[in-house]
Amino acid sequence: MIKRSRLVRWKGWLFILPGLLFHIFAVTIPAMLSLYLPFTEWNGISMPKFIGIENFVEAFQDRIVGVAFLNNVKWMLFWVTIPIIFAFGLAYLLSKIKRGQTAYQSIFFSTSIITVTVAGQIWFWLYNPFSGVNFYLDKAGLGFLEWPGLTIPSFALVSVLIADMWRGFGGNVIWLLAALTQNDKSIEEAAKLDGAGRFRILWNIVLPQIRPTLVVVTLLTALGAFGAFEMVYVMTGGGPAHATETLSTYYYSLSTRGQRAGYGSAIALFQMFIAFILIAVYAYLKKKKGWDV
Amino acid sequence: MMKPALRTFGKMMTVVGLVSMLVLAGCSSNDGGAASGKIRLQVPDAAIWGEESSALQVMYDKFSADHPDVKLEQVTMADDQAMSAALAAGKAPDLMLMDPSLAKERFKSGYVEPLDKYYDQYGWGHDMFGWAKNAYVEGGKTIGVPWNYEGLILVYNGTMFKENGWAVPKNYGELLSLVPEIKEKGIMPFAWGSSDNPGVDDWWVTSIVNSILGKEGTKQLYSGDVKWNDPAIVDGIKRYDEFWNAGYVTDKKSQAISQEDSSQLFLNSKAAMRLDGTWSLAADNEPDFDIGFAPFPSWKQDGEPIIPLGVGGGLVINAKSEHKDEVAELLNYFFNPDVVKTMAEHGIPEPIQMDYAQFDLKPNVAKALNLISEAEKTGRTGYVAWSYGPPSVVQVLESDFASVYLKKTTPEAWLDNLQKLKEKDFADNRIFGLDKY
Repeated sequence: MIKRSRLVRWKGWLFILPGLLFHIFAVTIPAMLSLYLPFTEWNGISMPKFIGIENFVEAFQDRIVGVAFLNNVKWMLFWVTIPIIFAFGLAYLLSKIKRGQTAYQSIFFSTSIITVTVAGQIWFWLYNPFSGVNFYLDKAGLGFLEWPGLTIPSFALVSVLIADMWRGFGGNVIWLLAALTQNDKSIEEAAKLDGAGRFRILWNIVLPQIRPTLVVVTLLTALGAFGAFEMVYVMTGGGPAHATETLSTYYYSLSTRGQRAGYGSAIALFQMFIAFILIAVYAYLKKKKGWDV
Repeated sequence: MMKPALRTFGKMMTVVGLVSMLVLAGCSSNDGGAASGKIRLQVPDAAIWGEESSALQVMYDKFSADHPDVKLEQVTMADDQAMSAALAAGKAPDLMLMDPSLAKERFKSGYVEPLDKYYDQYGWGHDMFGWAKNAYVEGGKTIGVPWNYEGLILVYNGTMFKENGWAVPKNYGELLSLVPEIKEKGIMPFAWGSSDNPGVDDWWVTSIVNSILGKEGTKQLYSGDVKWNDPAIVDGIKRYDEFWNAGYVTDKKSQAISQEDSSQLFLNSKAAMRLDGTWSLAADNEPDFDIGFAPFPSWKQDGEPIIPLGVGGGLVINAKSEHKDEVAELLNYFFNPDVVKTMAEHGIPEPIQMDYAQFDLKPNVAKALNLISEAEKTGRTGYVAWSYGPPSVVQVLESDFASVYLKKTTPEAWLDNLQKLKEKDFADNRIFGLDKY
């Protein structure tokens, strides 16, 4: 009996063994090594040479790291505000309609199934000053409506963000719509009978009910924003003049073209540290404030 | 009777065993035809750069016809990162395409085979240009065969120039008096785009430093005593900054379009000129106007133009290859007349002494190659930064020149940083010994 119960207990481990081994060799060990690489000078080819905290000292003095970090913060602030508010607004309106909801959902979600490479190229063409939207606006005498796109560095980041939002907001609409449909409608009905207005119902009844989903969506969005890479890489590669550089694009170019994988790893470690802070904030909200999922 | 738990366990182990066998079978090394007695060599994909690399196919076909016992397997390496991973895993091809700076780093790590004995055996060095061969010399060893030589030149709309009575500018003074005239006609003086690849901005810096310092001065700048923050260089970079900000380069929008977009602006006669390299001749564009080629104007007020030359890439042998002699034999076919001819036809001639008049080249290719030959005869050539510059400096040239003309930094601060990087490369022994020949 004892042998059988042990076997039963170990059976689960046997099932996860292939995946566990794969994880140990493909994720855990490389992850542990990546904690060492930031303390080395390594060109990605030869053996890494231990140099202590020199990479971190350089990173704190590197103007581009500062620019990239600020861009990541801007990217995150944008994504956790405008696209989420926009997605919530659409999801709320969708939850109110009776007919054609699926069709609308498909339309809003359709941009999310386009690969980043294609979406980035589409927007790159739209922004092209000699053949894109601006060119035709100018031809039609509507030059005052022109959007600088990628031509002015200070507008470049917002321009890439618009493209990224266009591609990514549909996913949040679906998440939030799913949460809204789970809401207890009787509470809204009761509030209506008590004379509560639309805004009051939205603020005091609807939002608190979907708060767990909203928190998770916001956290995932914030984490994703701090790893911003694909759309930037496809559209601008971090340019012009680092105006759209993010930590990810910077350490990628350092590690590949720049042959400075050790220094790139130090910046990546800094980025991971920020991700841990965001997760810690979430854990705090979950535990102390009771914002449970 | 087996107990149910043991039976389940037995079934599970059978499944795990079968899966393991499948995985192991998948992971086992492929003998690549060794069993059939054939040697298999992994070589670069001949289609990797389109027309520009098509000469590889000619080389493979010639070799295969003479060596039926050797099977060539073409392998595509997506980028340098994939190549680094393959080298580290011992799975890189036997023959590899690699630019000089990467080849040197990989040679130091023991991934690239020295080729001196094959140079002696096959006599590859006899007709090869010394400056091109030396791009692949590291620690006194020759580690690669330079693929081609390429030059930075001015490409202009010959028909447009003729119709408007414009003369091709030779220096900054002539350029500055011409470009306002071009703008007045509603035409962009220069088409340029760097959004997809900021690295191309390096071409402008190369053009500036070569025309200001001349051949010997450029050697000293890359590998000797001339500093990147030399006042002459600062002036040259400031001159370009002013030129760009005056709207003479893609109406100050070069950072928002790609190289291909800028090429289309030129081919559609929306721009009068381009800074381009001879490698672009492989694209074989046929616009409805005559294309003119000239040395790019000097960035000195009344200077003489110069054509910076460089090596586009090279072929190296994997130090871990089990068939190095066979790969060297294949590499010898790179000098087969048919391969040499194919390279020349695409405007990317092999860096060897050759009378190109014997080939029936397309008019544009012949014009561009003749231009380079003339410049070489008169000593009016220079060196491109991406082949011969200090690696850390080149990394900034290829990623950050836009910071200067977009006013994110000053030319002085930007060049001071380049000088610091050059000194660091000196200390790390990463400088190419251009000043030694």
